Amino acid sequence: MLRHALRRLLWIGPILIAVTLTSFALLSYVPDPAEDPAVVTTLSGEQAVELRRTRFLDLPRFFNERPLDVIARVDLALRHLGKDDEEAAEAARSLVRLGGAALPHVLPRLDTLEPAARGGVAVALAPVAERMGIPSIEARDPRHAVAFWVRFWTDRSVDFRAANARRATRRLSLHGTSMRVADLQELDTFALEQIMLVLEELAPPKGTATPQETMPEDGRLAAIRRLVGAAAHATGRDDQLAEKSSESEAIACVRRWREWWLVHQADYTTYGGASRFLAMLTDTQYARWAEKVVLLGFGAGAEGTTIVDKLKNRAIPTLTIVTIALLLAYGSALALGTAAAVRKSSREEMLILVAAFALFAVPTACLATWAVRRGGVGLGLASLVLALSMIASPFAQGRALLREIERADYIRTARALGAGPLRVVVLHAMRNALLPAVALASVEMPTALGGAFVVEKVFGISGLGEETVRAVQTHDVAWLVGLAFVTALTVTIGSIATDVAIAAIDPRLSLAALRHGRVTA
Amino acid sequence: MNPAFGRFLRLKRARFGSLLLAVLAFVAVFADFFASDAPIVMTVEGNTYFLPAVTERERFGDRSIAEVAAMAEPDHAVVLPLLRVGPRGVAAGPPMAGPSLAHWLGTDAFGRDVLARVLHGTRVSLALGASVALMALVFGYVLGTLAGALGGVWDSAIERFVEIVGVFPAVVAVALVRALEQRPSLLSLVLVTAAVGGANIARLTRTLVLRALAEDWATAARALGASPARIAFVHVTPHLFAPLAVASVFAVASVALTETALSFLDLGVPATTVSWGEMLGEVRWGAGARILGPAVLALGLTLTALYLVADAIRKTFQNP
Repeated sequence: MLRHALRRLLWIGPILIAVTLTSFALLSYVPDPAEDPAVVTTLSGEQAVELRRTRFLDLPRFFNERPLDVIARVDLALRHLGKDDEEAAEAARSLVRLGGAALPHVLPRLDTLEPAARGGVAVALAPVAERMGIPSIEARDPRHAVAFWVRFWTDRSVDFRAANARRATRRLSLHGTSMRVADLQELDTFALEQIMLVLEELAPPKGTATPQETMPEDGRLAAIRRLVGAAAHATGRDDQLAEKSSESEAIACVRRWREWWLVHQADYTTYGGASRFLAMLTDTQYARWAEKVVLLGFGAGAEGTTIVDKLKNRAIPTLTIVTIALLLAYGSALALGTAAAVRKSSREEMLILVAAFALFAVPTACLATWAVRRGGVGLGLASLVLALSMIASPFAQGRALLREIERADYIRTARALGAGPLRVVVLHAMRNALLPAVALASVEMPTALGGAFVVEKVFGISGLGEETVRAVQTHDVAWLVGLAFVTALTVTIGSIATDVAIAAIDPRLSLAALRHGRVTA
Repeated sequence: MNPAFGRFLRLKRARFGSLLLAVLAFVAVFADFFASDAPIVMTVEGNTYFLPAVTERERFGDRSIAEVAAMAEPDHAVVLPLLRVGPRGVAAGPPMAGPSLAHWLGTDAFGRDVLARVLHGTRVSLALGASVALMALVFGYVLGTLAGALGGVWDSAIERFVEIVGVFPAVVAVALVRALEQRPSLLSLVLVTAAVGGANIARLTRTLVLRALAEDWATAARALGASPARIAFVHVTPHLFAPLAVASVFAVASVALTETALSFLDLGVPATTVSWGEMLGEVRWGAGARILGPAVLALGLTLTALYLVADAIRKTFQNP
């Protein structure tokens, strides 16, 4: 029996992976928010594009034959600007967004562009110069902009190297002088990759190495604040750390930035050699999604807690309700079934049956609303309400079985030996009737979970249900996959427990039977 | 006549349950004769229309019964339904009005007639329930029997598959599908509930088949050279009738209850649907016993009828 239980436990892993794979495959068909009429009207064009990107909808599902890195994006933007077509404005905006990271790929090519296009590109880059802290009227003037950028590149091309970016980032994390800030500002988005690396060291995810010991606590927070500030400045993303924020706030902020980086890193990094081949596989919806699950625990919510944390907090009340309700329902169904079988009064039995059906036919929502209107509150009452609507099924099933078993030979034998009706039912018949009832209990588990959602809503308990409704309405894939995962885990463990119980109740079905699928003797 | 059928008919509960089901089915089919916005038969401009609100929806569907009746030619007879209000028509009076002559059970939060909605809801609810139960039953019976009879690798494979489908609570599964849909549909509700219900029935069937195969008569059949598939589908199947009948009774009701839970959670059944589940979901607009009672009663009646029939089936196949 133990071996059987262990074998079933080993199956949990593959099942859970299959469940997440299925839900991923399913949820990758979640309607494109950019095409959802309800969403499009409330968002501007840029927000819609951003929404698509955070869900990786701009990437192919499983294989990316042409991963777009910063060079490819620059190529695309320059082509549009050169043609000066209707997408030129969009291309200019994307150049500004790419910022410093794009400069090493744009400026050396300025000479190769046609004169007209050259001016356009140079002017388009003007906001980047401003962001880098080099305010210049020249940059905005079409006649002088090209000259400005050529001069800029001859002066500073040396700075745009990974080693320099790393040095500047490290320095800023150590000292917060305005010089260091300006140094990093001049690199603009070019330094983002390094900033993210250093941030990860400063605020490592839970469970990995402890934060750098060499640095005092408040120094570390200040360093995080400075780096986050630099990243926010370069990207224009408004997510900074306030002056007096706590450790957990800092970690949450870094986590949000890392999640953002996961989505946007292709904008600021180049793929060369092996990393280009790797990107073919990793720059896909599936890989990004899996990365998010593994690295960030299903991704950070708006308030910086991961979905795993949130699932944990919300699953507890829900699962408590479900467990109590199942125990209550099966306990009372068993008691009622026995009573009905022992008394053999068909009128009483009919009455119980009608009552059980009436309770079943009244939806949990109505029952719960009624209880709350009468002033009921609390987990216990919520469980009771849920249990009431679950009695009918095991009662009816158990009754049908008891009726059948009562005619079996061994019952007649027991009766002939002088066993009273209670003894016959409880000791002889019950054991066989229990079997399908227990099997039913495992399948009732999901139903109970669904019912728990309703009960939670009525009783105002913040459990899984509330969050799920929100996720469905906002097409929040991360939560839904997480929910599928938790449900699957709960139900699988429940079903293993029932299987063990079944084997315990009916030894004929124990190990040998389950292994060979059929009883041999 | 099949002897089993004769035994079935001799049972009082079988006759009563079947009669009740027949009445419900009659109401479902002929709901338009009991309560409708339009006359049953009327003549307009020389053409005679039968159930104009249904057959000529574009032309008559949006008008009240008085308007439609006024369009009829005066010298031709007009046959009016028993209740002159349809399930979607909005009453002129205030919503949530109590019983009156025009609205025997009053109106709901949107001013729609409660009685008309219960009568018309029978159609959608029974159809949904029957289709889900049938699909779940076929799916579950075939998979469960195969798993139990074939054993070994097949058993494991089918068990795992059923487990993966079955781990999703119907409400969660529909929620996942809802996230995919632009607008909620009844079809997804039916398919998902049937799949989840079928997985449950498959597990039940497998346990029962395993149990039955341990009996002496199964060993005897094997000794006679019957193949596992033959034993499972021919010898074991009659033993499955009773528990499967009981299980499918609950499958029928589960659709209406899932529908209620969904509309209560704002996960939306299409708002235009006229069904008991949708009516029960009105509890979220503060509907009281007057509005919910009839729907609960109707659902309870259906359940009772089905259970009586299922119980009769059990008794029919029980050893004499």
